[in-house]
Amino acid sequence: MIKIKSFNELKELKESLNAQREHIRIIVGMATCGMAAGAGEVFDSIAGEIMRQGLKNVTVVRSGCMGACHSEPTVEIVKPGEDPVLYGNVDSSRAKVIISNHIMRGEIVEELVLEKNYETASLGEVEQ
Amino acid sequence: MKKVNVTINDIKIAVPENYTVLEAAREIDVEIPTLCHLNLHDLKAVNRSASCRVCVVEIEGRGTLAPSCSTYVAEGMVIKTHTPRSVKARRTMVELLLSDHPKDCLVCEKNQRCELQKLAADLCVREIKYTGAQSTYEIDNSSRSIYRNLDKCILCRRCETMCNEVQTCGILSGMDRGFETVVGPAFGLPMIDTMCTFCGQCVAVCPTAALTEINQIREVWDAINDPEKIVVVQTAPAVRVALGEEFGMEAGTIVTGKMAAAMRRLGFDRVFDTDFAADLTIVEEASEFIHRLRHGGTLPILTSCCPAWVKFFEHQFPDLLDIPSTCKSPHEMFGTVVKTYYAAKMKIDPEKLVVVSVMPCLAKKYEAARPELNTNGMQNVDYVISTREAAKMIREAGINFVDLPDEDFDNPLGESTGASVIFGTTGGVIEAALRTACDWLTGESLEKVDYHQLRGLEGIREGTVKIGDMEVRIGIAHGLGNARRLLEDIRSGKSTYHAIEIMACPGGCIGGGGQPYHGGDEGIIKKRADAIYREDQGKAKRKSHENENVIELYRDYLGEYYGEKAHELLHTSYQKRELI
Amino acid sequence: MSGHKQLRIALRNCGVIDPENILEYIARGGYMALGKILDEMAPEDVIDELKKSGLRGRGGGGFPTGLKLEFARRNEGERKYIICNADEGDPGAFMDRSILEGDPQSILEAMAICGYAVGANEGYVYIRAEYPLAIERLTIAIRQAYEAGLIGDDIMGSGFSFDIKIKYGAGAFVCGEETALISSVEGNRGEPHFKPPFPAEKGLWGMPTTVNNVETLANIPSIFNMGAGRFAEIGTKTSKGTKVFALAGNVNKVGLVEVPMGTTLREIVYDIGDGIVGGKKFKAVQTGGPSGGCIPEQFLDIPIDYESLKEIGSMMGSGGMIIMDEDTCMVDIAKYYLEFTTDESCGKCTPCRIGNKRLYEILCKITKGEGTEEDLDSLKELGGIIKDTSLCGLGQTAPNPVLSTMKYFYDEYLSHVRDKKCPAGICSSLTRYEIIADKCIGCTMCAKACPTACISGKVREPHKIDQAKCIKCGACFKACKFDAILKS
Repeated sequence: MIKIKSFNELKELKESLNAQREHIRIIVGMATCGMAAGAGEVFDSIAGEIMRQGLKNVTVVRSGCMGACHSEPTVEIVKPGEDPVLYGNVDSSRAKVIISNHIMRGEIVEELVLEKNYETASLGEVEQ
Repeated sequence: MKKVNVTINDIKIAVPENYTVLEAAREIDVEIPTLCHLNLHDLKAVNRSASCRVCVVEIEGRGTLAPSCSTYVAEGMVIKTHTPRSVKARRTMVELLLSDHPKDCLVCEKNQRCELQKLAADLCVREIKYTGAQSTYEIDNSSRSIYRNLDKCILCRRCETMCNEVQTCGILSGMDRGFETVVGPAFGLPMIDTMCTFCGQCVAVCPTAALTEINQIREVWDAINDPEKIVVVQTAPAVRVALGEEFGMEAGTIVTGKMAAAMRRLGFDRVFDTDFAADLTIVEEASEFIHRLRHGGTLPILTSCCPAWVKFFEHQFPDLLDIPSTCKSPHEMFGTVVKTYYAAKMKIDPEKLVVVSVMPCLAKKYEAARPELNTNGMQNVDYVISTREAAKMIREAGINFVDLPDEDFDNPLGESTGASVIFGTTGGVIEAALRTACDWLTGESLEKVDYHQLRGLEGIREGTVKIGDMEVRIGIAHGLGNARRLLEDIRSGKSTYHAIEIMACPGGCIGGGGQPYHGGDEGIIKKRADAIYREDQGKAKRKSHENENVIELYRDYLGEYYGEKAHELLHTSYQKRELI
Repeated sequence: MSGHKQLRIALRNCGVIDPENILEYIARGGYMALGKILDEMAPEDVIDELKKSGLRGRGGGGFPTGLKLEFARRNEGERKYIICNADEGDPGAFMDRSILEGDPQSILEAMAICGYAVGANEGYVYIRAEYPLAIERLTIAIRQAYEAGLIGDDIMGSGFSFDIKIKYGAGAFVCGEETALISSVEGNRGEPHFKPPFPAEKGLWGMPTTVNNVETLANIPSIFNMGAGRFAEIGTKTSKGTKVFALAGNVNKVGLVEVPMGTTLREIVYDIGDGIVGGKKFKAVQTGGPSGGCIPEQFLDIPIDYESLKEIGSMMGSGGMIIMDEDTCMVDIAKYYLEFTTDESCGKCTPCRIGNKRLYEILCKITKGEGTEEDLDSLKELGGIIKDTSLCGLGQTAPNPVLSTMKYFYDEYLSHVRDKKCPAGICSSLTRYEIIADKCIGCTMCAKACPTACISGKVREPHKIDQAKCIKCGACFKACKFDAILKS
């Protein structure tokens, strides 16, 4: 990690990071609650499947709580240019189905989709 | 101090802005009852835990009742102290405390001396309104000094304030939580296994009988009633200015003569005075000081009369064990002299002698049992009773103390000088030592005996005394927290004193853990100090080395001051103790 | 705003970024607020902006955050401190944990902002030791932020330095109270002290200190990013922004929700929570944890904010929200919460230590069927005095669950003491199971299920329960397929 020495350097870093966002992100909800519901295995299974399938443009992310305690473990697929899709009650085998259908063939696994019932406040830029 | 205007019970008054509501109310003669509160301003012992909630009052604009002991006044504050709401809340607090308190008042150690009992009466509590679980704990009577019955603890936390903030010993603190909360040593250890100094300040401030002394009245009666035993009693300097309080006399009344008379009527075979031994201590300690000065010994020298202080440094400053004087404390010297010199002189079998000390102190009880304070297989002192216990014996014996005639102590161990009397207050021991040391070092009998610069209640005091062409720097501390500061300076090499006096209790022995309860009134302690100096003033002789009995003792028995025999009998040693 | 009921500000990054990678936080605008502040704002402006935003403490009291910082700024001190209160302890509440596990950098950034605003160069995160994952992620976050120069010495070349350390709490609920928390950070027994002096005057080691809860802090960078004005547009007149709730209990979709202040309980329970499990009837919602109260159906449509909840005998608290259905016994619920507070009381003041214990004992008596109507009066009277006299917020609010259930469900209390019945059938001492002979076909299922073997009878003949041996576990009731067991 390089040391950020000024506000400008921070802004530049932010821009360069956002410019790189070409990957598909598979986000696994891995807060304590998710872990308790088996998110660890789901993560391993997803990471293993990505390797096995030789998928290069996919990043698997260990993230925090997505709020859907009623349907843990949860996994969100974020494809550049598409609306994110949130899956609930994912286990190892369902994770594989999600990868083969959604990631590889672009088919959403409808029966596992959770309605995303929230909006995230626009993070905006710093008001100039 | 800036004043602010407040209205209390519709009366407008201006009070200093650093006043609490409690203090402000007193200005208009309204007394708000308190329980956990304790404020000895000048002694810097303030318990403001605001935990009992007995002193709550209504303050306009506040949603909840406010504890008057810790709520400070503010401009325009409107206070109502005795509204139905606050009185009811107050009474409920007492009712709740009583619901978790044994109801054995009739046979309680603190019956009629208990602040909770008084409060219940004042607030017209006439039924045990709430019932339910009651806390029960094991009695801790592991030590010789302090009896802990936590069933009676009301969590006022005064003992903690004394132990942690004033004495910096940190033995007592809150443990567990909720209804199970209790105050005690870490890990629930018995007191004997802790570094408690047994100063007894926790006992001195306990409002109930949760903390009292280990009572030795029964043992003393048994000794008195044993025809085989010759029971010798000695009374400490601070007892004579406080004992009268137990019988309704004004604080600071000197009752030396009545005390001697009472001791005789209780059946003690000889009524002697620890003051004699205080003079003895001074000649030994002054000799030791001069010896150290002249022979490049360790300085400063620290006084060693206070057993709580001795135990404190054994635990906390074991690296400095060579600086305190090796002199035994006066009552231990006395016990030694009784069982050696006096026994020989009077041709009494020392085994038949029982020495009882009446002390303002609870640590003396522990001290008497220290194994090294033993001569020829006999403990120097057999029993120690506090001023309070002595009063109990006097009452039990039906003696009308107030009307007793003044009587003298027995001889030859009854004579004392003014120097010995002031042992009872902070600064007194060092002043007494200076009176002797100055005479000896200058080879003259000096007129000056009053060292006013060393007196007072400031926690740490210092002064410089010119002896001949030498400037002797004196340090004085009372309260172990203050003592710690002086000791830390010595440890870090910052100290420049030649001699330091330390007394564990705030105010010195007059404020000891075995004295009549002051009930949070520090005026009582001040009056006792005044009385001590009055007693000194009234004495014909005011220098220890002029005590004829002492001179005789050396001439007939001990030989030289600070000599071989004196060392054998009058000096002791210290040991490193654990920090726990 | 879209049709969604939820709006995520505090939770903006949770479940979105990798909390163990500071670059993901930066990519989402992390540290931009701090950068901007250090670059172009005076400390006073920072405080003004926070005051303008209307942000209030999310830990329970709802004190205006900007004002809190202003007090600490005004008070002189050799050093000053910022403390993050992460001692989340309400039963069923996990908002703070989720933020720390999902977005720890936002807390660090906010602490540095507060530090700059009040003139503090040191911060502590007081976090309960029972949150190992949050501690791990926070530790990583602190390390990365130091490496990136976003906390530590001379942040982003501004000349402002801010250090952050972690302190573990030992699991005492009362340490969520700020004076107790400070005492605990100092290494002393976690016990509240009488205020004043407030921490802003004499806090940690006697120095001016600001204590803010995790969720409050999580909002702060957003306020500077979105602008205080925009933040203040969200919410109600007195309560701005959003509030995170841990939705739990008998609701279909339990979870962590963040809604604008002013959202109604009905929206949370029915729209976000998807209604009551099994289509049962809603009975009450408990908010504010052990300090809060139970809110009955009649208030489902009030917009939630600090004031409205207080008015109906509950409070915002830290954000626990437990939904209860018709099978809940309100006396039992009050007892449950009081048991929690009596256990967690620090034991310092009389009303909390003994008073709450006595309240609890009275409730035990009532649920055992030994209560009287006088006991109900005692509950009300003693509960009121405890609220009026306790030293800290824990004691002052502990009777709330009792008083609010008594206010709204008095009949239920009366049934317990007068008729010796528990209408919800929860209090086992007041419940009786009987076999209706006419309906019993003698299938023996109940007898097989009974753990104490107190049901006897021949096959194909009506069975009987030995009441003396029955422990009222309800196993027979569940086992019977013919509705032949009567619960009363």
